[in-house]
Amino acid sequence: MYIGGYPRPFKYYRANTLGEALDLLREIGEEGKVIAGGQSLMPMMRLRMSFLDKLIDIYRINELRYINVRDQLVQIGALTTHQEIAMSVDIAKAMPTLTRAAWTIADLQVRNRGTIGGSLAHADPAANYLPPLMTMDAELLLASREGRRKIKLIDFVVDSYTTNIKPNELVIEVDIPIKYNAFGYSILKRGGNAFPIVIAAVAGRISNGVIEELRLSIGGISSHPLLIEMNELKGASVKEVENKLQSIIESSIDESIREARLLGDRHASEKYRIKAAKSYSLEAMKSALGGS
Amino acid sequence: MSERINVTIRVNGVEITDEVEPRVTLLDFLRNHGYTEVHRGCDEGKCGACTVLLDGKSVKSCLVLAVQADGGSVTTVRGLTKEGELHPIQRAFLEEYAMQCGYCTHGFIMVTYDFLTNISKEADPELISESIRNICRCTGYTSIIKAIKRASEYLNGNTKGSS
Amino acid sequence: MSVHYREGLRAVTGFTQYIDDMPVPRGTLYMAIVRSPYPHARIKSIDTSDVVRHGGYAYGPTELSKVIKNPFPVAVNAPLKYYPFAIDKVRFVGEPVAVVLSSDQYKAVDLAEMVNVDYEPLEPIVTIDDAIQKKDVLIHESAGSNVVMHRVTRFGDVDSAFRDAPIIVKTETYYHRHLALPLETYGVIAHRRGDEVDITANSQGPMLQVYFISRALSLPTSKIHLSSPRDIGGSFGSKYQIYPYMVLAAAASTLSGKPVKWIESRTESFIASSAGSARKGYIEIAAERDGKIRGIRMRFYDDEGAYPRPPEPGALFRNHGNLNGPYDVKALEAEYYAVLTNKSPTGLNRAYGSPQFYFVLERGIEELARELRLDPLEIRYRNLIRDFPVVLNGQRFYETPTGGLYPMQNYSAALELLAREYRRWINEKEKDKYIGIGLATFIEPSVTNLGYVDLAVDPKEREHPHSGAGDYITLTLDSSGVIHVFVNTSNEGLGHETSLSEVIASELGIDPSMISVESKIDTSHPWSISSGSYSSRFAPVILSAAVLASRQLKDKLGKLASVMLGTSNVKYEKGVFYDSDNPSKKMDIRKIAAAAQWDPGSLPKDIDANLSVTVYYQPPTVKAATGDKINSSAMYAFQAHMAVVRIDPESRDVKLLKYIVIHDSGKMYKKEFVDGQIHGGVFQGIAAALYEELAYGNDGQPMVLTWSDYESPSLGDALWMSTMDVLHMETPLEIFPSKAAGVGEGPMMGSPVAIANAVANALGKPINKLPLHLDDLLDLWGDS
Repeated sequence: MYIGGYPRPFKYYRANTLGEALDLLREIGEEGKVIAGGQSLMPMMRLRMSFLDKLIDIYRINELRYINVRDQLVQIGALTTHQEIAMSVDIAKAMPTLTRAAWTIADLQVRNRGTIGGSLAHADPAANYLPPLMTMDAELLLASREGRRKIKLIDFVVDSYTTNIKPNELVIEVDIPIKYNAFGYSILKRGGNAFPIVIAAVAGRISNGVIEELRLSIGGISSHPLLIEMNELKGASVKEVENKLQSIIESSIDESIREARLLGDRHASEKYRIKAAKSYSLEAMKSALGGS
Repeated sequence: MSERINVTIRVNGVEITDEVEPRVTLLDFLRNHGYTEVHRGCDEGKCGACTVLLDGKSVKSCLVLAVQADGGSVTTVRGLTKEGELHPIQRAFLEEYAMQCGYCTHGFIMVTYDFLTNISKEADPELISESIRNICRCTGYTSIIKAIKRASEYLNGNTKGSS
Repeated sequence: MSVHYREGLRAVTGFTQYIDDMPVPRGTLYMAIVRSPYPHARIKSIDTSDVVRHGGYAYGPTELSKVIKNPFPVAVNAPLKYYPFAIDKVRFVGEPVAVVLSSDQYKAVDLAEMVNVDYEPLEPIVTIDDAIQKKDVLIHESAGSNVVMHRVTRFGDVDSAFRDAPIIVKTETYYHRHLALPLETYGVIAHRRGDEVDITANSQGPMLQVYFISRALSLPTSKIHLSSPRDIGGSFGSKYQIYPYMVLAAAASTLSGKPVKWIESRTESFIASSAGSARKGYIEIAAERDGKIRGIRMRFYDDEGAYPRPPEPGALFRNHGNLNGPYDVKALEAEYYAVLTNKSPTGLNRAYGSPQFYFVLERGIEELARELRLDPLEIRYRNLIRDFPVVLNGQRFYETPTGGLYPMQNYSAALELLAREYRRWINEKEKDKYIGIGLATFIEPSVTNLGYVDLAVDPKEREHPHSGAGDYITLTLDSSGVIHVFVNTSNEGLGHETSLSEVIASELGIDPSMISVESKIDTSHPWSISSGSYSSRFAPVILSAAVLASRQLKDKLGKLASVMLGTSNVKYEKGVFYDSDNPSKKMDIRKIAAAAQWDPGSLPKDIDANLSVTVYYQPPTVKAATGDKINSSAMYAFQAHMAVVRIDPESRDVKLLKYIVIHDSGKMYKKEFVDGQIHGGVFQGIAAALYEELAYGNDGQPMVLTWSDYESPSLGDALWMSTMDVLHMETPLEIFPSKAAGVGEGPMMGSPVAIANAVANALGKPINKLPLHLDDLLDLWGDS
């Protein structure tokens, strides 16, 4: 089938409130697919890469569109768009890597429509949000007619395009604790390829030039992003790690990819991605350490 | 599955009502109702030739189902021209010769409109690079980049513009 | 409104009209094509019954064969048949096997999924080497080989050039399959009405389309009418190869009795529209120790896909007249192979045949420079043509060994313009080792002489001579003094309407608003088989025809003015004819036209009230081949490029720092249009070098189905284009009335190799293969 642009037929349901959505999911969640902004799902539907015969449109559930910045916590409603996140001054102050991640998603049109909940539920291995959110221990709030549950993002994303969401569940909120003051974000996109090759995000806590905590997350090179706790840097001063950084990063990455299912395609092989991951992680790390 | 749904969308101020299958894209809905200035350039939602304003924000109409846009308001470039007068963005594109075959022009004008109005009226190059990513095959982009800068100057009150 | 750009005004106001915008006849059905998922397979059976059960029409090879009675003619002497659909065997992924029709576009696609085809897969031939070496796997059994053409052509004393040469360098290159794919896909509306067929399509010109359609459908040309919409969303050569789909749609219309519309989807355009052939090239250059070239031997293998679809194998011969490029070389040998593989057929592409060709030649020059430890600028400088000794019609030319005639330009001066920037960047490179500078100097051929396709056949076996590059233009004056211009060509973004109105307005000294232009296909207007928009022939041929037609119209009006003013002493200025003895006695064009239209009866018997002029302009140097010598293009212009890149140490990716084009295409009519073509062409060449490849896997499956797969850069990826400089020289090329050479293709001819040369300079290694993807760059980086 080589004729793209025309989705297969399906039955359409629209939920205007969270309650309606959860009712629909209880009824037809097994065979139905949820659509929010549609920026990931519509291309697949138009290329007839997806088989769905029931579509549940949740885009109009305005109660799920918000950004709350508290003292120690940022709460983002699942239907908040990427552009809203990108333009949020509060988020930029508290966690600039999330802002950078949002800005580097696709283009303005996609950001106007796509949502953070949609992106996380889709779990593309090269999703911009995943590395920064993982470094910051983000949690998701999931809701169904049976109740609500919280799950750490790192446990939610299981594999490429695979999460442990249940058929009757909806992602309704992303919660990110505010506990870091050092940030770095670096992304490699190539030409007009829609999918980033490598994304590296760093979050850390540095006080008086001493590293209290430092975490690196890398996306785009494996079936789901790697999260690396840079434990050997705890307690070290920023100055003394400067010239050891590259070798520490390289060995940490070599270590953590051993258990990972690595990705490679004709745009960039496994070998390339690993090499790039090292360079880009170093750059993100330098930003984080330099900026504190 | 030929279930049809009633959809009403206001396009350039005119209300259009129709019964469509849920799978029909906003792109096809618009084109079928005569708004042929909105173009299809790809199957994957990458090229941006189908860009229109939906409720004031630029979106790719091929990535929105017509049923999702029900009750909404769409603006195409014909909605920017007022009483035969070109909008400053249209004028900037024409003055910079920012088109050859013209197929990408509509999409570029609409995303530029959103960008200069809502994102960066000074046309910051970093932000352009992250925001305006439509595809053009003819111009090599040079003239379109100049047009965006000129449009920015016009919208900021500099009517003389730059060369 | 101070800007005069008609097409641009339509584009910004949303009033363009492309094929999918055109009204269609009542009862029109949408066509969806069922295509082969295998690169090579036998068709065992086709079951379309589900389609019929769901209320659609379906036609497989059996039905289609009833209407498409003959294969298309091919230009090679090989016994094989090319139909626009597969008959018992499929030969490339995407080859049409059946068509379905429905009154709803979406449903047509649903129906296409209901056609069941049973295939017996066969081993595919994927590479040029496979095609030659795997002799037991034949794409066309009847042809006996996958090599469907082999020619050796020799000029000058090649043997002695090589025998006593102090230096001989050899290089092998590979240029990839690439298409400058336009943003608008193919579209056809076909209507069979009784024994006539009307086809509207976004085709690139009438050219040979009518001939092909006539043969395939076994219809006389009197029953075929072709037209195109007013606007075409880019073509770059690809929309010439739309004729197989025109025939398929016409056949579907014949079989169903309904008008049929087909709009190609983007995925289809990647796998089954057209492609620029991949080329394996070998070059040997014999030279003196000071770098002066004694002779060149070249061998080209073009991968043309599963069928040598016309105008192939033209890509091999398009540069025949300029095989020595801008270098003074008298001994040349060129060996040509047309090779078939199980991929979609190739065809016209922007800069047809030339990115591949100059990749071979310029990489050879670089190898020579490296061997002799000579600066790349210097070695080119030493070999540039300086003398133009042949005189024709008072103009000077350089005649190439292969029959090309280069009009006199100052190649060295053009290169000198580049020299200062070149030296500046060499200095920068001393400070930053990641910088690389690459040059390309080349000759841009334009205005194809259709006769060059005869080179595909041995001279002894040619039946008739062929030549041709001419075109028609018609100017007609209406009763209100407006001049209506018609040219049978396509308007795919080259500003033809605007240019024509300005040139004619300038010739006649009137305002362009008095001129209306239609530049589109309509075979009910005069046209020839060379009519169309290809090989950058607009400025040289059509503008020349426009100049001549304007003068003829002025003469005609002068005669009428003479009669109406009652004197033979008539002068003309800015649209007004006046009595030179009594200047207040005058008539403007409008009055003359009105008088002639409203009361032609009052004119004297021998005065013609014909207010229409049709000119056919054929470039004078375009002749049929003599043996293997032929002036394959009517025009050749010099161009020099310099690319400056920087290899990013983190990603190893290539960043553009600077790009300079020194350009001389003769008289420039509208600088904005020329600059637009240059920017666009350079960009496409850079995209070809670094990103875009119509890649196939080892299993013969196309790997590129989307823009993202193709890595085509968007505006946000291309802000560096603002670093591009274009320096224009304008040597008036007197050979044509318009004094202009073609512009559209040159920039794409040299930019891929300029990029390769720059990256080679940065990494200190030869780059003889394109494109350069991240892994290629990583491997090249190695330990350097």
